[in-house]
Amino acid sequence: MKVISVRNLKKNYKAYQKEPGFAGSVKSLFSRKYEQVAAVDDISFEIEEGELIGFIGPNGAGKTTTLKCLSGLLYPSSGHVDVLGFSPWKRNNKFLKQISLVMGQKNQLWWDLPPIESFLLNKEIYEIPGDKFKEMLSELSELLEIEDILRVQVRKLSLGQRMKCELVAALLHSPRVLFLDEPTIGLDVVMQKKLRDFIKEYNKRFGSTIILTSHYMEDVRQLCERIIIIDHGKILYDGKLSDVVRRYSKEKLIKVIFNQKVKPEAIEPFGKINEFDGQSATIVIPRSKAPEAVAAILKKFSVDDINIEEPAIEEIIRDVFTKK
Amino acid sequence: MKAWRIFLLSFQHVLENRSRSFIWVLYVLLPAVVFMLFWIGVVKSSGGDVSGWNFSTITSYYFLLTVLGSTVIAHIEEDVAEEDIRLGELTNYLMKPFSYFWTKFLEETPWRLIQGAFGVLIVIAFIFIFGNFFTLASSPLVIVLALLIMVLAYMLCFTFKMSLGLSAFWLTDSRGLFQILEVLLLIFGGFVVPITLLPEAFSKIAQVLPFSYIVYYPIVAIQGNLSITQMLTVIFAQLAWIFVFYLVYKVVWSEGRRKYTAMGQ
Repeated sequence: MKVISVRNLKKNYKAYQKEPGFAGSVKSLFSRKYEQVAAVDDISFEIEEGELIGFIGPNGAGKTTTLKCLSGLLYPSSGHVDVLGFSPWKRNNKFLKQISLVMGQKNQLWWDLPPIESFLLNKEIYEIPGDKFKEMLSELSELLEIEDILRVQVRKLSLGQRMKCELVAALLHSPRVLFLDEPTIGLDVVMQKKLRDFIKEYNKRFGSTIILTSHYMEDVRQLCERIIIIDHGKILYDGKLSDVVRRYSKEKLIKVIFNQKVKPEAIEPFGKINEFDGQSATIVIPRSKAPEAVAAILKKFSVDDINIEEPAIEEIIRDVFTKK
Repeated sequence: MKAWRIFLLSFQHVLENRSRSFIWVLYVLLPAVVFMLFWIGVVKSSGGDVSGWNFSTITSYYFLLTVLGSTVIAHIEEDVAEEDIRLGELTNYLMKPFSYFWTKFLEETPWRLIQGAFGVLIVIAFIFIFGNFFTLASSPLVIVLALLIMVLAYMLCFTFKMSLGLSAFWLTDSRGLFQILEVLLLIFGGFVVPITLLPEAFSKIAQVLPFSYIVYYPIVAIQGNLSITQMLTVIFAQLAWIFVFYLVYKVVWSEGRRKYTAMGQ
């Protein structure tokens, strides 16, 4: 069942262009040049119930703007957005009760009160029945290990603890669609992993649809089967994460450890040497030529270990952006 | 129940910031005392009576002004403009299945109640010291109507300032606009001087503008200086202004939301 359907969505911002210097400032008093900047430029996609999707793209690519259009914060300049059968922009209460938005850089918790107070507020606002609230709160607190900080003032919590509480506040009403905008930003690697594990578990346990944006490829790699790559407001790729490698990476990496020292000139004919320390090397080889190169290396050298690997996903995505 | 929970939570938040509330009361009290001393001087030099205002009515006017100024004057416009619209806090409100207007109303009301309570304490101290110089209505009906006028004054001020705050959807800096309207409220609301003491033209303007229904009329009502008919007229005018500002708010909100970019988020 489709929960999100986006057709030809456009969102433009009006930006004012100022010429540099004092003269430019004076000139701008009388005439200002405005320009329409397309933050999201004619994108279309559909998302099925229960999917966990990663939106990736550089800063200013249009990821967050798309998320804001889907959650009803922004009024689309044109196109059609349907989330759970609603037009998000209209902010129908039935719609708002089924979605949630968590932004890594903002919080909804009351700063000088303990998180439990904000949770109780959400219980009333989302009209969560008493026993359902208790059940969800205990389940989420256990999963995120926050039982002992429920009664501590939010301002006394660490960033990681706060983020966990933000997630709880956003999930108490069991949203069918969850938007996560950079949920792991600023967190240390241990906390990033904990949140990642939680998101994965939550998606599995509750079957919610989750749309995630992140700068950390690790988030996307660990969580999302499907990714949508956006740049300059346009979708460059929409599909399985594993396919993006096949589609965009024209090369493979051969990592080889030799039994004795070899000279770099000896391995140069096989491909471009990426790393080399005398006894081990990483060679970049066109994808189609990898099997025969491995065979040739094994024939020519005494090899301790040899592996064919895909290039790092970060590099592939970077290549997609730079259109290499 | 939702409303009650928001109200209670806001109340806790205000109690966490009680010293801030007290300072805000002083902010209203100090200018009131300055104006009072000035007018006491004027009343004395005019032989004890200026257009029907005497020493007792003028001192109680300014002390009631402190209570009313703290209780009914909402300071929501900067919050709406700076925090919510400019810094993007509005996002949190927009994601909730509850009206922004009423959430703000429930968040602001505890501030007014606490500051009003501080104001009342100051007035009680004043009555204790200068009991003879304090005039207040004594008829229960007048007191009930005066309290209703005070509640409506708060609703009117709140609705007006909410609409004002939404100007930030269009203006990069709304603070200049807020200052201008604050000055108008000072003059035409009866802060500087009771509006009947203003030059005649100004006094007439003050009666047409909404500001006098926020401060001046609630004070003279609780002082017992208005007839029942006059009080009913005031209530009618307040309701009309609330209706006007609520309509303005609705239109500005629906247009402004299209402009919202959820920046800083």
